[in-house]
Amino acid sequence: MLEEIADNDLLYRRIPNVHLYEDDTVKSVAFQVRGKPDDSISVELARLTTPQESLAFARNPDTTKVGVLVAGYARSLGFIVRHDPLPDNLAHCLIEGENNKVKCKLLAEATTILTLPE
Amino acid sequence: MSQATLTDVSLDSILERLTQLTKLESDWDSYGALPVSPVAFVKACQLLIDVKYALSALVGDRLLPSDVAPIADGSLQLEWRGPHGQLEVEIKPDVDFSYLLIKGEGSERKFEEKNQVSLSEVLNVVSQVLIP
Repeated sequence: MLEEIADNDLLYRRIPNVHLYEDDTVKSVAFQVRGKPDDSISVELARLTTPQESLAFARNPDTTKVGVLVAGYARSLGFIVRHDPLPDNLAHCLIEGENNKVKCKLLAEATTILTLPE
Repeated sequence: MSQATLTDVSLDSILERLTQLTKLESDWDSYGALPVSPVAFVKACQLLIDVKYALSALVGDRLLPSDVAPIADGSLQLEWRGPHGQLEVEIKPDVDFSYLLIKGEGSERKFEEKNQVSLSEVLNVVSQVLIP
């Protein structure tokens, strides 16, 4: 069943360490994805998963962190945010719409890296 | 304080960081990223050498990028921060460069994004950011 994504819903995105500055802020390239012209960024709906479960999808969990951003902020940049459940990931969502470097920068600045317990 | 000369500024550390990025395997971002393109790597090295020759005498070791990063499509990004802004240059495996130039701060911040730009245009915008 598809979930409605509210503006105040939180979204998780896995961020590899190579996309983090030394102070754990996020580089714009974390939101530059493959796939043109249909720009779509994979994220997960926080209320349907946990940061740990999200991290479990990482190829290298030891060199990956989980960032969180607010759905309404992505919408304010003109993106559509929709639930797109996958067979192995029911929390999967897509941020879709025309993307550019400025929007990638703004999304990165709006993303906070979570500190997970050891 | 003396200005660095051309031979003073070493690219070794930044070239080493770029070399490390070429060792990333497919799906390094867990969203299906491609490995760094060898063509993008060579172009990035050439850009750094060109920046060094163009700006070494003027800005010394500030010509070194503040950051390097891989992009999911096999491209590379070099970033400079200087007295006149922040610059992110994307080095694609094909012939083009693109960049995002950010000037000012807070609500006064201005963005300039350009795609399909030449090497000489990139050198020009790096100069804009770095030369006091």
